[in-house]
Amino acid sequence: MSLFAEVWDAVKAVAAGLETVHRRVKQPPATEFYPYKKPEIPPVSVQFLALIQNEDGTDRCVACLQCERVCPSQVITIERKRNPEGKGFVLERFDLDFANCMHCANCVEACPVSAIVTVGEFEHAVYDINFLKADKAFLDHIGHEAKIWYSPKFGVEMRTPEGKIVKAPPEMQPGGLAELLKEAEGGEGA
Amino acid sequence: MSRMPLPTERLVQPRLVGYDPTRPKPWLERIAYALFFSALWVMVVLAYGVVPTVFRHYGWLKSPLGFAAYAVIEAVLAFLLAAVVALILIVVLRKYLGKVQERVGPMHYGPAGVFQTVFDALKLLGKEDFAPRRVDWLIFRLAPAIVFVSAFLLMVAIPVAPGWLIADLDVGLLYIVAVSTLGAYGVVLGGLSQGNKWGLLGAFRAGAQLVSYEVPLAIALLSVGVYAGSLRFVDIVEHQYGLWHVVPLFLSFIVYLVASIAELKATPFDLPEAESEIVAGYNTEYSGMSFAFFFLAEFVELFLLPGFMVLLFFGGWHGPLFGLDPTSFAAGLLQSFYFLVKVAVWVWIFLWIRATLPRFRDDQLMDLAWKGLLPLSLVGLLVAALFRMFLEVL
Ligand code: SF4
Ligand code: SF4
Repeated sequence: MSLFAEVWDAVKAVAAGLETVHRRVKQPPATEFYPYKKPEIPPVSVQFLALIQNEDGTDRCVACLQCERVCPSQVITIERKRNPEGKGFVLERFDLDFANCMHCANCVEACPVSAIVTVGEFEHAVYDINFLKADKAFLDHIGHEAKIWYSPKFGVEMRTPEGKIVKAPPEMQPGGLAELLKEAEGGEGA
Repeated sequence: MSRMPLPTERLVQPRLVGYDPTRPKPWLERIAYALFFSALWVMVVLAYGVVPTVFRHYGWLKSPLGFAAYAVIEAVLAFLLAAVVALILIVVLRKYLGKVQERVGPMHYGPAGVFQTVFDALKLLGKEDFAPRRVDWLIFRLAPAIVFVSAFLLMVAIPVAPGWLIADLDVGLLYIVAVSTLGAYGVVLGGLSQGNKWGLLGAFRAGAQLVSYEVPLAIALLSVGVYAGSLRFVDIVEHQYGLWHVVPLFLSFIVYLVASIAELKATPFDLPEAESEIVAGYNTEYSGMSFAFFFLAEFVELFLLPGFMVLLFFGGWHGPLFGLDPTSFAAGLLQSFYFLVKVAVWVWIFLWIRATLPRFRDDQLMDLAWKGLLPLSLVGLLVAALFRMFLEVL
């Protein structure tokens, strides 16, 4: 009798497997069509670094050299001069060698004004390693192209279609901020 | 200083030929498969219907020259049919496995990638057919031929409609047992001759597996023969008017199903070419067209073994005829269509099983064959004989 029970178990198991497989057929594929269709990756991931400029086109960067100092790979090179019109400094040169950058985002954490940020853009691959030496124009361009970026100081920020820079809503912030806020509100209400 | 190019300025922009993932077109895929099926049908009608009917009608088969012409034409047509079957089944298999595993499958050539196999075949044609220095050259070259020929010869025995067959064999069942066993030789010799440990292991496994599964397969076929009272396929199919054999011979049907999956070397029993264990098993060292012939044989068998299953257990070409004369050409068209549809359904079930079950272990395989299927097939034979006895008495 146990033989028949065993056979019956096997038949049931195979039937369950067949049923699962058939259900899978109807599900949409999980494939990323990457080179043809770029996925939206969150800005909190460290991919490209970008320099953000203010809405009026001036640099956010105050040339404080914090990022240059903190960079463990020492790939940031900054040249600055005294601001002729007021106090502080202006950038003359801001080079970042992506070939040696280890994407640790220490520079992003160190920046006091959230000028250097992480963005969702990630297509680094080039044919010549010399192309990976980015200059200020390139970093500015990436910053202008970015719709959304992240820095620990200001959180996720985004550019509205009109060109205004605003803080992103809590749902888009990392670390489950929206849930935390919701809980806090619920706590107050109760 | 060289400037880093912006992503939009890159020299190479990725471009997708033939398929736009943002707008998937399942209907295009379906049309392509319908065209595939029609091509298969046309080939079957040509090879099994038109040419034999014409030759028999004009009596050309009686003269030696006519017979030679018939043989040559049929050989070419059967080869083309085999190629069409393989081209279709490979892409269907890949698409189906892709869907099961939540991938897309081939997608670059043709609408939704349905012409992928054509390009694969062209690639294999263009590749060097390389033989390593230590192989046993003659056997190494002969093995793919043996495997392919044994699959190819099986096509002769299939009747697709009444009177639509290439050769009317009185001992059709014996013939397919004999010829399909030949394929095991090709696999074993191919594995042994290449002087490669993976090939050797694959050959061992193939030898053990194919030999042990031939026995229940042959007994299952025998029980059908006993029940139908004939070894001719035409008689067997005629015998199923009223009741398909799958009902009285259910045990034999189960044995045939399992044994034919093992015969196909498909996934629950794909030990001879287990990719994750022994590279590619018996065809490790093969490349180019030699490899393609192994592949071709495998997929022709994937078409033929369900075909025999339909003939033996599912009433072959039976289906509603809408008052047509069963011997007319139009009825032949319709009946071959029914046959192909049944075969297609069974091919799908084979692929389904293949996509579901994990691989057996060697000893489990032998257990199943000798301790499970062999007694079961003998019981099936007994049942067939008993039913036959009642049939005779009534
Ligand atoms: S991510 Fe790290 S390595 Fe790269 S520039 Fe910033 S601090 Fe330097
Ligand atoms: S830390 Fe920020 S503000 Fe200071 S130099 Fe670097 S980017 Fe500019």
